[in-house]
This record gives sequence, C-alpha cells and structure tokens, in this order.
Amino acid sequence: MPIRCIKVIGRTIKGYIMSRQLTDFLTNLSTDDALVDAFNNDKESTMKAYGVSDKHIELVINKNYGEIQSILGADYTIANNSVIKAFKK
Amino acid sequence: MGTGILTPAHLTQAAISKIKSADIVHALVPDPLGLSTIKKLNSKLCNLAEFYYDINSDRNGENRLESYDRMVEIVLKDVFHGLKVCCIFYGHPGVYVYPSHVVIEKARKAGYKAEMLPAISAEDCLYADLGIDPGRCGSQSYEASQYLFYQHTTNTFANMILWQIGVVGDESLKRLEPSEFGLAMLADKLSNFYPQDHEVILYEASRLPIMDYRSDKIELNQLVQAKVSTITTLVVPPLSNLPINREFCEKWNIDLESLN
Ligand SMILES: C[S@@+](CC[C@H](N)C(=O)[O-])C[C@H]1O[C@@H](n2cnc3c(N)ncnc32)[C@H](O)[C@@H]1O
Repeated sequence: MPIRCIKVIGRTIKGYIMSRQLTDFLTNLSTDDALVDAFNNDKESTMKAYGVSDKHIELVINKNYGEIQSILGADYTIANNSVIKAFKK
Repeated sequence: MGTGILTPAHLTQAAISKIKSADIVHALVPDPLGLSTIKKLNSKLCNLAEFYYDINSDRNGENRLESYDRMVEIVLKDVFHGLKVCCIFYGHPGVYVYPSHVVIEKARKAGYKAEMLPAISAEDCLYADLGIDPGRCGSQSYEASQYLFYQHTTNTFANMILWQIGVVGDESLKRLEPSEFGLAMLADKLSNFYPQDHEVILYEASRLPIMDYRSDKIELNQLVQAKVSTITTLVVPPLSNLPINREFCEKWNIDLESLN
C-alpha cells in the first residue's frame, strides 16, 4: 500500500480512539431503533451504559453539535465537490 | 459509491459489501461518523480530504478543480496498479460531484470496469424533511453559481433547489465561502422572478442521529445577511399555482375538468 495511505489512516485512528465511545454510541444510534427509544427515555443513563464520558454526555445534552462534530473529526471544508462550468464526462 | 448524508444509517447493503471487498478504499467524506464507519468495514482507507484544495497553500493545486483532478489521478493510480478500488463520496456519489464522474469515465476509457452505485443525496433528505414531493409541481435543481452565470431558465411554478450556496459567486473556485457579493448576486438574480418577500428556505440535513435538520425560512430580501455554510442548500418554493396549457390541451382534446 502507498505510504501516504498509512499516514492518513494513522491520523484517523488517533481521532477515533480519543472519542471511541461517543462515536460508537452515535453510530449505533443511527441504526438501532431500540437504542433510540432508550435514549429518548433517558439520555444520560443510556449514554453512561455505553461508556460515553461525562464531558461528551454534557455536550450531547446541551445540543452542542458543533463541538461534537469537531470532536468526531467532521470536516465540512471539503463538502463542495462540484464545479460551476458544465463539464463533459 | 456514496455514504448518504447520515452515516451509517444511509449506507446501502451494496455499498457495504463493495467497501468490505475492496483492496483499497478512497474516501472524500466530511461527516462525523463517515470515516470511522468506513474504517470499520475496511482498514485500507485513503482519506482524499488530504488532497482537497488547501486555501492556505498551493500544495493541492491552485483551486478546487485542480485538487479534484489530483484526486482522480490518485484513485486511478491504484486502478492502474490492478487493485480493486472503492471510491467513496458523501451523499450520492454522482450528484453534484465532479471527480466521481471523471474517474469512472477515465477508468472505462483505459479499459477497466467501473460502476457507480446510487446513494441518498441531500436532495433526498430535503424531500423527506421538508415534505416536498418533486412530482407535485415539478422541481429544478442548479449549482448556485452556474444558475447565476449561465442562461438557465427560472420556472417559478416549480420548486427550485440551489446547491453550493456556501461558495456562491466564486468563479475562481478558490474560496470556501461565498464570494464578497455572492449572496447579493443570488438575491439580485432571484428578484427578477420572485418578489422581495418571497419565502425561501435554508436547508441542512442532519449529520448526526441526535440532531435536527435546519430549515430556516427567510424572505428573499434577507438572503444577503443569511448564515450559510458549505452544506447549506437553498430551496425556493413556487411562486404560484401551475397554470394549464390550454392551447395544447385543446389541440389534443384533453378533458380540462380532470386537470383542475
Ligand atoms: C458537492 S455537493 C455534494 C452533494 C452530495 N453528493 C449529495 O448527494 O448530496 C455539496 C452541496 O450539497 C448540499 N449538501 C451537502 N450536504 C448537505 C446537507 N447535510 N444538507 C443540505 N444540503 C447539503 C449543499 O448544497 C452543498 O453545497
């Protein structure tokens, strides 16, 4: 595999480990409706049971989505991928 | 292939299986759960974000287009090495995405098999969240700057969806925000067809399962001051009801009663 990819993966892993529980919790929340029900019923204990840290629980409860996204490594500077000129394929 | 807008909820079974079986995965995915989800499926991940246009240096080219062309080269290199390559973009990989179409075309031209898998785009989320059915009165969809600078027609009877208003007016493709007069130009162009108090919607689909979508309704005259980001889409609802084309209907003897 080319070296550049190994470097990039390294960065991704680091970001992931730092917030793994929160990432895992939100990942499962997006596909598991029973977890959604539990979360809606009692946000704090549901996240605690998942091992989400107190700091991250607070961010979720306070709806601090900007901070959460940056902790998880969202990068919306790269969101625009289209050009203006009509392009030939 | 595409991750959809909310990962992993929007990932299709077909996409998951392609990601798992690839020799290498290239991904340009901005959302918070995107890369970690892909990494769980395949650890051989190359983050194309590293090659995205860097506003502070020319390391990835002089504008967005140059950086997309580099991404195409990087992906093709692995294809030409004989690897089974999976290339991932967020949303639908073919909806307002330049490099995906180019990479497929070039790979095919060079004799390799390449296919695009459909996925959920921001437009799909928009229809669901805002309760708009494009079939109700029609829909038109443009890249915002292309709408400004080219002679697109404006159909005020149908919904209009304007993409990339977060970089509107920037013909240089060097900015990651609207140009100085981008939103003013957009308001100016739209006001040729819609009244100043026409309601428009700033829309952002949710990127986290705990988060609501954004649906800010403003008047056209407030657009210049609006807060827009790189993921904001503008919806311009129709101005008036769709009139019947009587001349055509009469020519073909259509029962007008059934259209009213
Ligand atoms: C380069 S296009 C990519 C679209 C993507 N391929 C898709 O299928 O939705 C970027 C534009 O898509 C729209 N977009 C992307 N994410 C969005 C979101 N979460 N909500 C609303 N619009 C979004 C915005 O108009 C943004 O400027």
